[in-house]
This record gives sequence, structure tokens and C-alpha cells, in this order.
Amino acid sequence: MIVLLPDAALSLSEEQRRKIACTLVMVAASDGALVREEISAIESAMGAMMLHPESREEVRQLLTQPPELDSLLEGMETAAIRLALRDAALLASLLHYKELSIADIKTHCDEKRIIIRN
Amino acid sequence: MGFKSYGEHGVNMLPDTVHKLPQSERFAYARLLAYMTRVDNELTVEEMSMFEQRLGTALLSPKQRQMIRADLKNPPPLEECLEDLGEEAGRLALRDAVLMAASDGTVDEDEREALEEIAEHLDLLPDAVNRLLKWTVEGYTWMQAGYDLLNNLSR
Repeated sequence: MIVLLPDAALSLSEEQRRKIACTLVMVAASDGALVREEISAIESAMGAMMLHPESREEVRQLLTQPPELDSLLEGMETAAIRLALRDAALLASLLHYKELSIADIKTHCDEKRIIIRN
Repeated sequence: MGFKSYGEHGVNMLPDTVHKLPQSERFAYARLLAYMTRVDNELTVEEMSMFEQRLGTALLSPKQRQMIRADLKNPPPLEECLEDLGEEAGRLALRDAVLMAASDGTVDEDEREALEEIAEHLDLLPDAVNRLLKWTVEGYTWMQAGYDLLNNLSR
């Protein structure tokens, strides 16, 4: 059983949390444009996850050069992927046309055939 | 005054309007939250996480962030925090102050007193804080439902 507590992201390592933030950048940038609302949402997520200032700076650098989904998911733990999926869904809800990226992530999760063990 | 979830972009799920406030009001909003973190003389991880989240949403300048972090160590008096808050910023600050106060699972007497003082300063209805706390509990329940959902997504 994967335990996802209210502070689930905080229990992940810095690297896993950074990857979640990078996933959000990828989703937000998927249409080739980043609006203020999306940047605010990403900054909010980074704050909630209490990312180290250096990690935040790294994530901000990606705003102009978004990462590839495959490279992000490489090495991501199941809990981190699911939290990224949740937060990407929240972010995507900001603008309708973000839905494609969400579908991409879900497909990838399905491909990994994650099994939750009791 | 009327709060709109997301103005020109149509129907959306999780909007916020903090980032649309003038920069000076976003700063005042953040100062009030910094004040709230110190009301009960303890800063839990949950409160810090909520504070950092709201700070991120506000899109403050690096210099302003530095000043807010200084406020965390030496919080300004409540009256000073309230001075620069407009009506909309004030209500958003009260809402988020309630979220922060409740983030560690309890709202103690000092926090409650501060919240009531903010509501009074904003000239809100007497049950304003109670209603916001009720909304907060509903929100945390919704968040928990999200975790339950994440735990049940496997094939």
C-alpha cells in the first residue's frame, strides 16, 4: 500500500519533488506558451513542496526550455508520478488546452503498469 | 467588489486571484501571512509549506521575498500588516490565514483571536471566520479524497 498522506510530497526526496515541479513545467509549456496563472501555479507547487531555492532556480530555467516527459519519468517513484499527475491535472484545469499533456502522463503511467501492493 | 474565478478564460476548476493584485497589495498579503505563522509561537512544517505555497502564488519579487522571510523572524504588528491591504487583498489574506492556521490540524486560541481581529478590521460578518473554517475543513476533506483516489488508480 502506498501511503499518500496530506503532506505526501513533503515525504519525498528533494530530487523526486524537483521532478514533480519539472513535470508541471512540461505540462504548462506543452502549448508553447506560459501564462502568468501557470507560472503562479508552478511557483505555488514548488512552495508547497518546499523545494530548495537552488532546485527552484533549476525549475525556472526550464520555463524557457521545457524538459521531455520520458526523461522526467525516468527514475520517478510511483508516489511522485501520481502526485505529479494530480498536480498536472490541477494545473491543466487552468486552461482547457492543456488536456493533451495530462493524457500523455496517464498513458505513461499505464504503460508502467504500476501495482500497488498491500 | 466581486471575486471572479478566472475572468476571461471561461470555466475553470482551481483559480486564484492573488497574482492579479497590485504588487504592493501582494506584499501586504504576504506580510499578513508571515504574521500568522508566528501567532502561536510555533511554526510547523505544514504551516511553513502552506506559507511557501501562498508566497509562490503571490509571485513576489526576490527582494520582497527576502523582506517577507525577515518578517518571519521578526513579525510586524498586526495593525501594520493590515494597513496596506485593500478590500480584495484583505479577504484573500483572511482566507489564506485561515488555511494556514488550520494546516497543522488545529486552530488555537491565539490564532482564532488573530483571525477574528482581521475579519473585524475588514468589517466582515460576525460568522466570517467560522464560515471560512468550515470551508477549510471541506477543502481538506476534498484533498484527502484526492489522495484516496491516487491510491486507487491501479488497474
